[in-house]
Amino acid sequence: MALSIAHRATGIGLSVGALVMTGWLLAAATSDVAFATIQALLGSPLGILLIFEWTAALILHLCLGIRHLVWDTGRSYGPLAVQEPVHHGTAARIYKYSAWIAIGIAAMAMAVVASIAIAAWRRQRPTRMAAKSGVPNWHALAGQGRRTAALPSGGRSALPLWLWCR
Amino acid sequence: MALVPLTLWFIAAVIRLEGTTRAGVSVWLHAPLSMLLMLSLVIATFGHMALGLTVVIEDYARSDATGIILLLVQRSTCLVAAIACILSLLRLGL
Repeated sequence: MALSIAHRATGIGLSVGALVMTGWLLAAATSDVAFATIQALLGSPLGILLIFEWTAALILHLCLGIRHLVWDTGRSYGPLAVQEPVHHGTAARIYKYSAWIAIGIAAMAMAVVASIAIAAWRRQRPTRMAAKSGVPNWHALAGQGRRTAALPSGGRSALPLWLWCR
Repeated sequence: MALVPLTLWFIAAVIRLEGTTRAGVSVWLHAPLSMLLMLSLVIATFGHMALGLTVVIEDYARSDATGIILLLVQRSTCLVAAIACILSLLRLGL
């Protein structure tokens, strides 16, 4: 029940995300200034937060969607499930387990994606700082502290450790 | 169902493109595979989005009139956004 609502909520949020992706593509196809502007907007702290949320929503929506696909194959509505009472039968068990499995896989996938994204961001940061545009550099304005806070001690070598500590 | 691999590929692509320039995006889209997958992704995503939002609107619209208006707005938004995406992709990558 709750996850069904989450599926809808993430779906609606992702629709907004799809429109933002449209804006990004349009800006890229329009001009250098337009592209620099939208890159700066999406690279601002609020933009990064939104992208993080959209990624999380995308992964949760994807996992819940696969859960729906599995249901559509009829696995939770077999003869056993029909014979037993709804609330403590096989159907209810599959419903509950599939919920936790979907949430677990989504959480793990998000941790992996976030680590890779942070690692890529750290790697590309110097080149981005060098790229000058007419738009204020939000990363510089946001301060340097966040970088060290995101991934403690060292570069890519600490990534497995960081993952494990999560 | 095609959206599952396409979405995972898109997340990876966005991470790889992070912090790139406009020329970088253009180079990326000049690869036939990127262009093909991006076009498939856009078409599948907006189709999926239109279907999903249709169900949501049908479930929650208070009256038929608001429902029909919302559906019309939603359908046309999806269609226009999808066309805008496709045109942008073609302009960037061709």
